[in-house]
Amino acid sequence: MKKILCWLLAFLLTCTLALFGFSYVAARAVEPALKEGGTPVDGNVQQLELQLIRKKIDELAPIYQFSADTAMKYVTAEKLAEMNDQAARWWNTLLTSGEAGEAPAFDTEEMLNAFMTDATPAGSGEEGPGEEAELRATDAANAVAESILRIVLPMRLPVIGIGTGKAAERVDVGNVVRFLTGIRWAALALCALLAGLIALLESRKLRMSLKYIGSAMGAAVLVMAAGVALYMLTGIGPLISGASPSLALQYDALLNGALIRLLVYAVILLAGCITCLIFCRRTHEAQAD
Amino acid sequence: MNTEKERPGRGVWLMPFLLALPILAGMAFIALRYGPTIVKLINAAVKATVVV
Repeated sequence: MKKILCWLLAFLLTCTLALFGFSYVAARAVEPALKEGGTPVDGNVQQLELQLIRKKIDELAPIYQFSADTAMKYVTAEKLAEMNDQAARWWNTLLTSGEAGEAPAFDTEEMLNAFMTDATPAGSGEEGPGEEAELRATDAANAVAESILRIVLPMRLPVIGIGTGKAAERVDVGNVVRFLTGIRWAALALCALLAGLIALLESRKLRMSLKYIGSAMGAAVLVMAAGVALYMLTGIGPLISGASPSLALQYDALLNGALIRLLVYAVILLAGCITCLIFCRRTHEAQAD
Repeated sequence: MNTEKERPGRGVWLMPFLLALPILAGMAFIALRYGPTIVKLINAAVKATVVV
């Protein structure tokens, strides 16, 4: 009976250790977005975003008849950082209050003036471009601004706004997110409780309690490895890359951090498993001798 | 060489696999049974919320 109970507790410990691993990694990925100002975007990601913007502007230039170099003069790293900060605040508002806040906006005034100057025929004596050229310059500036917004925050903002608005009518989105980020501590407390119960049941033999606890640690590593393998098989990464290269940049940066944390946790669990099982085996051999 | 003494000690290395087996079986079942549906749902969600 005691043996069955120990196996059951070890099985539950395996589940909670794996749950702690996944919830810890997920919470660490989401938590920075819940702080005031949201998650700051990595400098490398911003550089890659700048390259994507350059590519997009090169595509738009012949369509709207403007100079790509002129446009790029006004898409500076500082302006892009400001746009990313606005996007981070948008995510922060969405996750903490459940409302889609004000969408980031790119200031096109200077760029528009430059397009107007380019469109004014040199030596014509006119003060500005013609009405048609003015409209074209405005369209070009708006198209550039929209492209930048799509690269910084490539989401359908009205759709998300409607969705979160409907969800907010039924639940407090902020509380749900905070609850989900708190699951890891509940899982950790449960792990400690289950390990304690195993130790209590096998109080006479330290070797036996370590055997169950160490095995649960090893099993949790196997479960997490299987979870990561299943994630890889679903092909979510390529799906996002196909939908939006700029979202893939942000998603990859988030995922790499999460995978490193999961790997560190798995190594710690594996080390714990090996230590416990080696101790168990040596004690067993010593007793057998 | 006394192999009878070594065998029970060596068996502890199988325990993590035995403990993980039901969970892995459950995960495999869910992946095979509901995997394609889950992937389709994720695909639809990405298409609905991401600007292409």
